[in-house]
Amino acid sequence: MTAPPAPLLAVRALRTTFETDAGLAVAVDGVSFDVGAGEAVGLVGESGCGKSVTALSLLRLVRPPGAIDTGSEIRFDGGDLLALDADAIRRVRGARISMIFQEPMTALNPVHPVGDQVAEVVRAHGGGARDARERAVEMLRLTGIPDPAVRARQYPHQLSGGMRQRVMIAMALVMHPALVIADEPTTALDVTVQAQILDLLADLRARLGTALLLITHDLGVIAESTSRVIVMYAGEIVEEAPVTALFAAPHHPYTRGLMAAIPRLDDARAADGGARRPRLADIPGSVPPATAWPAGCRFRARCASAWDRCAAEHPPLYRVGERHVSRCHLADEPGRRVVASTP
Amino acid sequence: MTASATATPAPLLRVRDLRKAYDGRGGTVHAVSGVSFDLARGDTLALVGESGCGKTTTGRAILRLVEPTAGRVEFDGIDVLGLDAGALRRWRRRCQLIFQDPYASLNPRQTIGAAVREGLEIHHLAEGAAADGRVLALLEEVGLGRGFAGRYPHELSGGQRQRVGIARALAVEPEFIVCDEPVSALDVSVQAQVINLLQDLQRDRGLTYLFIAHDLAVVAHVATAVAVMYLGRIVELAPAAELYRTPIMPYTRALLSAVPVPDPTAARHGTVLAGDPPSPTAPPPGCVFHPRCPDPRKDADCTRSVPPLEEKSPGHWAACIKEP
Repeated sequence: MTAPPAPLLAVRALRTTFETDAGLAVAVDGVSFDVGAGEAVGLVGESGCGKSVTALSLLRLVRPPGAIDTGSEIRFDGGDLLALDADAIRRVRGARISMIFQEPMTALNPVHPVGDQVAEVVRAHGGGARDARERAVEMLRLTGIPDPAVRARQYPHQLSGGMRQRVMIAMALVMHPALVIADEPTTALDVTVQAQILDLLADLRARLGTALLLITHDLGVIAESTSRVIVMYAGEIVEEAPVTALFAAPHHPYTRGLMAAIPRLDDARAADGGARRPRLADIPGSVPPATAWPAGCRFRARCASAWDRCAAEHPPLYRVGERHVSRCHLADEPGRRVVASTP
Repeated sequence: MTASATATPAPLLRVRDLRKAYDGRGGTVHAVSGVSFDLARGDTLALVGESGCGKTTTGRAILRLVEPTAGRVEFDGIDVLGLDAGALRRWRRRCQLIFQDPYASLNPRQTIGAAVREGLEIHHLAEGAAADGRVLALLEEVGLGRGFAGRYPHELSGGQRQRVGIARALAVEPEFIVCDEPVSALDVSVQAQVINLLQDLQRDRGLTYLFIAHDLAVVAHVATAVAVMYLGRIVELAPAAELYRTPIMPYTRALLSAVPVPDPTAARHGTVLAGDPPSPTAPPPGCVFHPRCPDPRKDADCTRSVPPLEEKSPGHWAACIKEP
């Protein structure tokens, strides 16, 4: 029997901090996870949970006053990303690992034609001018942009939001990277355009064999686009599972709260006439500041099930199912779960 | 017709053929092209559609924050577009607007208490200690608590700032609130808190909402009726349950099927609508949706004239000539 292949990306004990006026903010606090070659992994959580800083850390894009702690480990394709010098990490960015941001208007340069910007990625990694231009137009065509040769000569402001996001995807994929990190890639888009972009990403990934780390707060997008999900809260991973297991049996009270808070189309279908819909389940309170993570379980102040152990003992990631872990003492003492009654 | 002769009371808000055009570099932009609807007191009408469909302009034109080019707005029998400046100011007290990003509307050097107090003073509703008391009561009503009165906007989270926006709107005791994407910048757990708050306030104060949103799942939770807008026009209008159960317009069906479903075992979305909405400077002839319409019944007739919004079944209006 052979050992399973090493994952494409292996993150271990990643800790990223920021010096702030209020003290040291531990935005990412000991995060470990893998992404396999060609795999689509979702990273979900609310603002301030550390998901975007995790993404920036992977590409070493954290700038002072932020810093990645020594002791963190990011292994990619067998190499240690944190050991690379500035030149070497630049060769990885855009070529082996690339990133798609939420707001293409701010990520694109307004004074250069979009085709040049895609071509520039190829040039930066050693491609010739002519080859770069051809690959740029071909990549724009693959992203479904009509008349790609014409569009390549246009400026970002001449394109719609959906077109601009296609250009961003072309820039991210033109070097056929092994891993794409997409940070809220569809959040700024209309729902119809979001559906187009998610389909496009899935189609291109299937063709090119690209792995995806999809960062989003939208569990609907996660359900449609990923096979494994990591839930973050207060700088930590609180739950990780295959996507079907997570939605079928979420374990952590935070994950359960997130799922219950999602408004659903069926809410209206179920209502009769003008009758009021039931209240949405909300999670009381808000995420604590990263300068002062509470001791014990960081979610306990918002948790209906919390008991004294949750204040005394920081929960480890318990195994609660096949490839399914949860950072909650309920795994140890399931009888203590308080199920909120429907109001 | 006398009031006693009809079972349904007159609507609080009646909008007829509302239009707003802007002269831009590329020609005239028809942001709103003839919008009509009624909104009964205590109800919530949601205006939904993609960016650029005219939903925000419609809300602002009703409040005369932008001056409509044409049309009629009746509020509790008042001809709003006919009001002079003084009467408009007095009427505005009965109506308020809640924005997507309350941070942009808050003065960073002003405390939360002072921001909420402003409306009371502008409209001479309370002064001195009475005003202080009202401010604290409002902060409690929106779930912030009195302790927030002395704090500054930058100390607050997005959800807390939206509660401040709601408290400011409530300060003048309005009857009608235009909620313009009030929860779309918020995280899902906080979004649920704010939606619940808006619904509690509606129940307790008998408020009427025009709820502008692009998120059909959020709308499913708050609306009594839904108007779907496309390129400046209402293309479908129905009671919420009816619209979500049996949408008529191909555009509405496409919008609904594009909403990501938080269930990995569910079938992937059906119709993915191709392309972007066309430009409001040069709307296509006939039905404005026909270039993107996936309906097999589409033919040359769809390009000939703008389909009227017709009542296809009781209370359910749609603008499609292929729909009997």
